[in-house]
This record gives sequence, C-alpha cells and structure tokens, in this order.
Amino acid sequence: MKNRIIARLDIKSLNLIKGIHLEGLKIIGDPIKYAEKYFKDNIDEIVIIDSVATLYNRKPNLELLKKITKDIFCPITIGGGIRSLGDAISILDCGCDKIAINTAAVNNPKLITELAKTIGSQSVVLSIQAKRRHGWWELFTDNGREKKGIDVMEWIKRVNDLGAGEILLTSIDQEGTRDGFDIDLINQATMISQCPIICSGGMGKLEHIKEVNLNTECKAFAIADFFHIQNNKVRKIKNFLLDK
Amino acid sequence: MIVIVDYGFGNKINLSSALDKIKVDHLISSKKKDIENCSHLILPGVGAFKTTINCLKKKKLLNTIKDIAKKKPVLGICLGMQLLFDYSVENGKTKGLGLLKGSVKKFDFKNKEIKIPNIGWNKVMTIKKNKIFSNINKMDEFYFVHSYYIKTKEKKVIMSNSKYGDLSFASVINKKNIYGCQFHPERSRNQGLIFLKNFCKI
Repeated sequence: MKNRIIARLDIKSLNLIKGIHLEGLKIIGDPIKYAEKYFKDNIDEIVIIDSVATLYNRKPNLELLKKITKDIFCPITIGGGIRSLGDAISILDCGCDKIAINTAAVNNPKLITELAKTIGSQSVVLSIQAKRRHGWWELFTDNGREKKGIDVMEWIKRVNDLGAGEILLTSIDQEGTRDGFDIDLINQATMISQCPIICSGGMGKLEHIKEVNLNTECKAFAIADFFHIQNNKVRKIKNFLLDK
Repeated sequence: MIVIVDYGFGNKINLSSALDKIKVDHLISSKKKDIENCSHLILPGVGAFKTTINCLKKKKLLNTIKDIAKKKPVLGICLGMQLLFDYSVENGKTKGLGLLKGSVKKFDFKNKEIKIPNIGWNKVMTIKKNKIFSNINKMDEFYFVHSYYIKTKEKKVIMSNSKYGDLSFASVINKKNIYGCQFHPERSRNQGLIFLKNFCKI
C-alpha cells in the first residue's frame, strides 16, 4: 500500500498557525492560500483543525471553511468544535469529506456511533492526542490542555468498536519539534487499530517518514511545520518515497 | 438540468463545487418534481447505506429514482453506486434500489495489517472500453474511501476494477444509462473532473 501525504493546517480565527507541543501558537498566514498551494502541488489530502474552537466553546468558522474548500478537489477533513451530529453535517456542507472529533467524543463516546450511522464511519476521524508516560501514553483533549487519565491504546480499541473510520494520532511530545515521529506510539497504535492511523507530530526531515515505514504499518502522515515553515514541496516527499 | 440528490447529509457541496468548476448547471434537491425533470441524476457518496435508503423512503423518492434510471443517465458515487444494487449488509441487511444485480459486502481480510476502510489514491484498471473513461490516462489515480464493495455475478456491468489488499473489486460499473463509481471523482483532482464531465456529456 502506498503512503498518504497529508497537509495539516491548524487554524485560529482567520489564520494558519503552528505551535510546539500544541502550545505557543505562531501565526503563519492565510490558510486559503496555503491549502491552495498544497492542492496544486499534488497533496494527497488536507486536514484542517480549528485548534481552539473547542477550547473557547466556539462553533467552527463555516464561512472560512467554505472559502478554503471551494477550489480544492482532493479529500478534506475538518475538525475542531464539533459536538453533535448537527455540527458534523454543517461541517460536511462546507465542502469537506470527513470530520474529525476529539473532545466531544471523549466526553460522549456514543457520539462516534451516532455519527458513523448517519454519515458513515468512513467520514468519522478520531483525533487523538497522546502524551508519553512511563510505559504508556495518556489521552489528552482540548488541544493538549486537558489530561484524561485514559490509556491511549485502550481508547483506540474503544473508538474502533464504536465506529471510527480513521484515527489522527498526534504525539504531543513530538509535535513541532522536528525530531521525528513517536515510532513506539505509532507502532502500537497501528497494531491495535482496525482502521487506518494517520501519524502526526515530529516530521523534520524526509528520513523521518522512512523510519515510520521501516518500523510500523502506518501509511499516512499528517505534516505541518515541514510544509508551512520549512517550505518543503509535496513533490519532494513523493520523489523521495519513489526513490526509496 | 443535472440534479444531485440531497439526502440531508453527505458531501453534496463538494460535488456541486466540482460541477461549478467544469461549468455544468446543476441543482441540489430532494424534491420529486426536480428529480423528475432532470437531464442527468447524480446520487452522491458519503453516508451510511441504511440511513440513506430510509431517508429516500421517507421523502418517497425510491420509485422516482427507479423511474428516472429507466430513461436518463444516472451516476452513483461511492455509497450512491452501492444504493443501485439489491442490498447491503451495512448496519444490518438493507434493501437497495435493485437497479443492478448484486450486493454490497464489507471488506474482511485475514491479514489484519490491511486496515478498513480503504482510504487513498488508487489506479482504475479498465476492462471494457467506455465513453466514461474518455481522456483519462490509465496511470491516473482516483481517491477511494470505503469499507464496503460491490459483489455481483453480472460481470458484464463491470467496466473497471481496482485493488485493495489482495482483493479486486468493481470500481466503475455501467449498464445502459446507469453508471457508478466506487471512487470520488469530485475529490480526484483533474482526472476526477474529466470523469464527471464525461458523464455530463452522456
């Protein structure tokens, strides 16, 4: 199976932002322009997370999302601030294909099943934020602010049973560091999960993807800093993977 | 006018953006009258089989769609294609539109390293010539996202196959004026737009 290269755009109000360990958010620019750029450069998918919508109990900015998706004809996942089936439907109506949920799913796991039954599990992405502990990973919500005392691997098993179609797994420890992905986390998660895992957090150089490919079954990569700040082309990754 | 059937949920908006992009007039509607007057009908993807069929039942559209399929071009995308068949096993056995013979099965691999759903870009291996493939390069890839696939004994309706794991499944089907694709043309870049354009020209 082929790798999927996904551009991850975290947004706050009207801006594309980027942090380290999901904190210290820095403004990068206009998300519409960035999304367009990656689409033209043959990105496989785009994930957009309104990273603070949940935190401030705010609804996602539908008008902005519509503008971002308008001229993009590749798969788009949107997350942040989705609390109900109604929210999910209005997000799909912005022109995206999949919705990502995190906090609302932890608070109300039944929501996962409710969503899967209506919009289909292939459109339900579980966003999971994991922090490394001694010998396990703890589940976090609210953009890495709320610790839940739940074992990430247990949660992955549970959301599979509840109807999740995909898991966006972010390592809080690696996120924004450019030090490479959390291989152990990804490996364990991929072994446990029935549905595909998208790994996120730590991509700093091309070899980091190779590391995941060599040590795990994970085939999907959500990449932010490497594109937005280091200004790398999607093509660069694809050519590297072809040469491998 | 081309009509996109509105189930009340799903990804009809990005399908509509794709038709805007190729400059095709269209309407998103669940009104019987609009559907009866359409030139072409599109059943979009994204949704669960049972919920979608129940929604069409509630809106009393099942027979309307069946009638249209007798005379006008119909395109089912992903779930929309699956609806065209006899039944699906998604969330319990549910009857489909029955316009094509066959059923909708869930992927089930012995090798648990193969994840479900199948998500990603894949080639479409054409086995029959069809105008729906005009101007599409055989190396072009399309975007798939699905846990279910078509199983049919009526092999002649299969225009192309695609692979997931060791399984080969129907990715484009056609019988008379009825078309279906398992991938999402509206999400498949320029080649997807060409595919939609080909359908609109039928």
